[in-house]
Amino acid sequence: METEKTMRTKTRYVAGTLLLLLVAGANGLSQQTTPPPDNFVTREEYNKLLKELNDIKAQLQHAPTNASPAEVEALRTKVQALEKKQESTRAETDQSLEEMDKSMKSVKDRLKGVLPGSTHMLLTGDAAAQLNVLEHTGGTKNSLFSAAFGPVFLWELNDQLFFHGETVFKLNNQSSELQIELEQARLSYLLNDYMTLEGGEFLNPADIFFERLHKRWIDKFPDQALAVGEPKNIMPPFQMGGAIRGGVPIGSTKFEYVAFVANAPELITADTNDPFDPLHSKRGQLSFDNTLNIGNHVAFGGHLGFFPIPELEIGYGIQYSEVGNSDVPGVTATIHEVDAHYVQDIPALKGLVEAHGAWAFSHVSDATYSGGVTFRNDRNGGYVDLGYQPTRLENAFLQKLEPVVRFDMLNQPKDAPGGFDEHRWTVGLDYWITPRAVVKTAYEFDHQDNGHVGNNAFLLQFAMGF
Amino acid sequence: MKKIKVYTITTLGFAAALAMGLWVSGCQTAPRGSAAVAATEKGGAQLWAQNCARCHHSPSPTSYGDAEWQVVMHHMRIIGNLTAEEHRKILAFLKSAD
Repeated sequence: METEKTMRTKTRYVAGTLLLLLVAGANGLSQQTTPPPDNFVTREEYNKLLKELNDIKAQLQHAPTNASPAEVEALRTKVQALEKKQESTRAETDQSLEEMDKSMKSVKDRLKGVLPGSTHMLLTGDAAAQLNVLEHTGGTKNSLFSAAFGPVFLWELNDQLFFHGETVFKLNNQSSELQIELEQARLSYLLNDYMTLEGGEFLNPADIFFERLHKRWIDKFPDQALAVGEPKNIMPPFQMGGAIRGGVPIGSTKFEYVAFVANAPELITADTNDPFDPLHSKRGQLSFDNTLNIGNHVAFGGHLGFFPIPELEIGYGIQYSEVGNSDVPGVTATIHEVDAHYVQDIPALKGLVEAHGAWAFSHVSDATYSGGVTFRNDRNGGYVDLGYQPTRLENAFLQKLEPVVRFDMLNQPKDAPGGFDEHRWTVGLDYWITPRAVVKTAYEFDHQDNGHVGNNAFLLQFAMGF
Repeated sequence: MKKIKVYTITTLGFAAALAMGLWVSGCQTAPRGSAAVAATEKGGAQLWAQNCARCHHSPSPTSYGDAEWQVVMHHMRIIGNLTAEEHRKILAFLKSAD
């Protein structure tokens, strides 16, 4: 009995609430309904005027040939007056329609803003399918298809607060199982016009390639450059920590800054027993997947960028931290990177010219690795690339083509286990189906020192951002 | 001892960066010099063309609606280190052109 009464009361509350919402919604909408402007002309009025004009024109055509000049002149004046009035009416109608469109858009925007559950969220991301054909020096070939999908969640909580979440699903030669990685989970707060505070996992701001250019629908090559790109990177792709960043105008240009603290990388001191382990024979290298923060160290770093002209950005990034675990106490790692990026539309060349370059330097202080191995642990490497897209050509097919060329290099300590130098030349041709969908083809000439076998490769990738 | 030194450098570095940011934010209410005015004279379309093309092909303004551009531009303001004024102008351009 009590339950029934409670239910009835609840039903009344729900019905009452719904009624209130309905009234409030109707009231809100009625307030947004704007009356027609004074100069509004109805379709009927316009048609009536048009009919009147056509009748007079017909009269003029069938007028008796013996009409006096005064009668003809009077008729002509009348026609001219009506034509003028028709033109004026048409202009008023167009103006009224335009105003109605604006009003409609405004009402729709307001309506969106009050809909329950509506938030400023956007689901975006990228996807790619790739074919790698590796040609080994012995003449054998190894081909592999791979695919990746990276959904991105962007959520604007209010004018200051923003969340960016990103995962990547991959199927490739690193593992027979689906790989799922959390690429970014960054929470940002706009402190003022020139400064943003952020925390979480974010792309490494000290490495412009990772932060801005590595997305498959942005990168002009099917694979990433040595040293600054994966998998042979000496810069960390991500940071787990906090950062402050922003841009400051200076005259006709500006500079950008980022400063961060993050988990420090781990120093690999011993080979694993498993020869298939990717860390096998990597003594002296830094592992950036240090989510557990082994060693309990903090890395700090940042990046400064400057635009001497709007089309050119030059930058410098640095990261410094103590690294390693209890086996190698007090060992530090310093990683620098210099980068330059030039993008300009050049009418004389009928297109867009892009050039990017970055070089990274890594130094790990003296340490004794397993087996009593010691060596000077300095590495460096980077890339320069050039692309040209004839966007100003009239031919629609040719203007979507972009020939690209890249040189990249990685120098490692030769007396370190697994250490060798490598350099590559890559030539490619991209076809931009849309600004965010591209088919890339490339051929890579690979050269490795110290007895290692280089792998030339044909690469094909279809990538899109959405 | 070395560890203390690292943390000291870290703290000093961040304090300096924070001080710089706060100094800059204080400047936003001060009268701008003639050089700063030059930067603010750029229109939304020009800023859109310059800033977007640095990293990727610029999508058409009609690719998104007003509400979507608002989210995209908030994201780009952070990752592209745009100032509030650049952000405001580009967003106004995109909303007017979509």
